[in-house]
Amino acid sequence: MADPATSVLVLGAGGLGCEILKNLAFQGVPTIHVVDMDIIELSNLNRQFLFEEKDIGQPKAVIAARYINEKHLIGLGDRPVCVTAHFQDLTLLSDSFLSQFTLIVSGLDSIQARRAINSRLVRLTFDSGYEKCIPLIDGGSDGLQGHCKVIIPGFAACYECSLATLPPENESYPLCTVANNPRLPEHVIEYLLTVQWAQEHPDRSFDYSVDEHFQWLLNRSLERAALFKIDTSKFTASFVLGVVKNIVPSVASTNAIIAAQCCNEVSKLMYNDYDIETSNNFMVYNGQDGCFTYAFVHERRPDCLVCGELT
Amino acid sequence: MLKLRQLQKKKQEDLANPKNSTSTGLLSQTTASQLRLRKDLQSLDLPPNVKIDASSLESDQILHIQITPDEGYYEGGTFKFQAVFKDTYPIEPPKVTLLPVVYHPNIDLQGNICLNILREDWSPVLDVQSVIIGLLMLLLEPNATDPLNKTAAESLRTSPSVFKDQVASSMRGGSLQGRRYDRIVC
Repeated sequence: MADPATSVLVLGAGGLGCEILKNLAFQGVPTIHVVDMDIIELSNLNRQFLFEEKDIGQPKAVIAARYINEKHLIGLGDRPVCVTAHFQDLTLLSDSFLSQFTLIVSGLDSIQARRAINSRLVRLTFDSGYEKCIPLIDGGSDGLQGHCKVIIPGFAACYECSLATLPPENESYPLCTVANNPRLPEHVIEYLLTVQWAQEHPDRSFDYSVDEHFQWLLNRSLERAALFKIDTSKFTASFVLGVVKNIVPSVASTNAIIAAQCCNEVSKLMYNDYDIETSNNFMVYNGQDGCFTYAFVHERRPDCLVCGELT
Repeated sequence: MLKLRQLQKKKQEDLANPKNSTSTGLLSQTTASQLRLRKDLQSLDLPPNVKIDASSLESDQILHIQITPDEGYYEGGTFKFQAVFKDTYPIEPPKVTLLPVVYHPNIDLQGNICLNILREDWSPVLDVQSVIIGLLMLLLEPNATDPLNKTAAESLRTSPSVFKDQVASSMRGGSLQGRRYDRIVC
């Protein structure tokens, strides 16, 4: 039987976070905490189903917790399911706060935040002489692809161990192509951001949220596109902003699949069906061509900078 | 969670037994990118014509690299590069620029460098050593097919001997096509 005292911390209340919170609540985890520092925006509503139009401008964590608490679900050991919200930056959580949880599930969108929480948890295990060990289940979704990693700090591969398997965060193009032989609208924008901006404004860095900067980018891209005979009709404000922010559309079904896998792992850990040494701790999903998933054991790196024992 | 708790107990007992204790040590508060950088620097194996200055690495995350090629078109010139490492290293490559203004087909007059491993072919398995070897290669073998400085590339392609003279003159601080270059030979 699972321990009714199980408590789970959910990091992120966005696309993955909403799914994870819903699953955990239905699985009957009685104590759930959620941390998120974001505010609800209109563009979230298609997939972040715990939020409604009237919630725009409110903190995600608070609204998500309220929505689930209003359902009055009954969980393990007949305890009520209770979600507590923390509207704050997860890197500022204290060690004593983290220590109270049995498990942590993350649905984050940044590699930096994952690295931060991963190294905190590994340190917690080491510093406590293995008395504390809080498994981290990390979900990630990017367009039609996603992953789920189970990290048992100090015992199996940590997030840092698998860092070298990550694809580059931004699409980048050879500088020479971008400078002298641009063929794509992306090449034009890349040149303006990396070279021309610094030439014209050596004292300031580019900030797309400043109207004047963005207008500069739009005007110059049209000039440069015309110079290299690239179709200028593509350079709409939304297209240019999409390239600058490197936007990949979020897909609701990917979030659902990845969150389901994360919560499966929660169940396996809770019901002692997870063998730390032999279970597959790394799962990838690709919905781009059909539906492909694969799970394997990612081994610990002896020279890992976070969990390696050489430090 | 029972299985995990049992494993933890076993590990704690192992640790309590001094014979088996491996030093896990306290991990310092430094970020993962800084740890990785330190490791990179420890494992460096540089040829004698490359010097690095890591004095402003901890404070500003800037590494100064100085390369003096001992052969090729750029023999004898002193090339000072600056590599800026962000907290995202090694997921993202360092930003490397050449400080003096130099006449080179793959380096523009602002010091931007066209080197594949610094952009599209970067991977987290590459390190400071690979970056330095890449820069050294670029100085030994300028590449005319992927130009960043078009006039230099054109000259290298059409007449390597003219290109050689132009490089020699530019490295002494001369002017080419009305453009002054920095003196980098003594």
